[in-house]
Amino acid sequence: MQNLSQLPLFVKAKIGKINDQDLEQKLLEMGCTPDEEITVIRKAPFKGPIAIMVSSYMLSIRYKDACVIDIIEYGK
Amino acid sequence: MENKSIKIVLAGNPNSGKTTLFNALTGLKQKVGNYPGITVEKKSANINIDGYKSKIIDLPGIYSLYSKSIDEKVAQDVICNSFDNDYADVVVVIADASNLRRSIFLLTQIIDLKIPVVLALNMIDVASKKGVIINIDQLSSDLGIKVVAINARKSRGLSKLTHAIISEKIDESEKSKEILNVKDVFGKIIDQVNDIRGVINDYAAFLSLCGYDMSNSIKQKIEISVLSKKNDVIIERIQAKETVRRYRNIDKIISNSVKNIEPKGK
Repeated sequence: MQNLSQLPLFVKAKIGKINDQDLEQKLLEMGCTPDEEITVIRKAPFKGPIAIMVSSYMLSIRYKDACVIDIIEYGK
Repeated sequence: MENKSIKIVLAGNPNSGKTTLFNALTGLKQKVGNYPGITVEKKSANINIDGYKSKIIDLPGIYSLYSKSIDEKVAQDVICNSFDNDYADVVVVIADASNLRRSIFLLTQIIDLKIPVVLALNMIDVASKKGVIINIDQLSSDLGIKVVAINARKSRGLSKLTHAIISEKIDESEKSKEILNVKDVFGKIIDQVNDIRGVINDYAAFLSLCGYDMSNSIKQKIEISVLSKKNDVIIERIQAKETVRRYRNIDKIISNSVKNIEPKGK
């Protein structure tokens, strides 16, 4: 199982489980629902924020938060 | 002459153009910007629309009625709490057309609360540049509400919007459309909360169960929390479940009325 912080740039994946309840609710209501397609499009260095593309809009999240979002890579 | 008045609340996601619309309607100059989180308290102004003394209330942006921070709670109270001074006759949800899926979430919650609401679709020009084409009539019939295309920055579509607001205010008919039936998902506990509250409004009952104010008295709040304990309700879990189910229904509506074509150029 991979988490979002490990996903390489521009590789498509699906959102799996979000292992933090507060963050889960916040992301859910912004449209990051299970099985939605997600792509990392920018990464700041030194574990800085990560910009993701989800349901056709861009969202930036903390590196720490990206670590608790499980993802399912396509073809695996 | 009869003194007609109306309270209009502007709600919507952060950075969807609420304050721009507020300024366009009222002629005021509240601070706007191209990033979320500028409006953190409610602002209001009085204007005249078609002979109605209208109070327009601008709210901080919210993604849902599940408020977590104080500015979100300000917005939630105005929408949900009928004892609030600014409780709306009509809510206008402003949606960024290029982020329709996310914008509609809050709207469907308000629809399910049976609050009179009009959808103002903003930034359609941005959406069409991204290749997003919205069938407004289809969207309007699927949501069961009036939908008006506007351009808040260029003040276009405003008279259409104000007409829609006034006709929504005059229209006394019962709102029947429901986007998510919480009773189907959570069963008879919703009826039990309805009994405690003495009103039949399933979605308001659900939000009460989640611990939100919803104009409940202290006695009602205690009874609801006892009921919730007895049924081992975990608020985070039911909220998450409700959100996922709601998005499933939203996705059906969106796929019915929104087309994505390849953007031109570049």
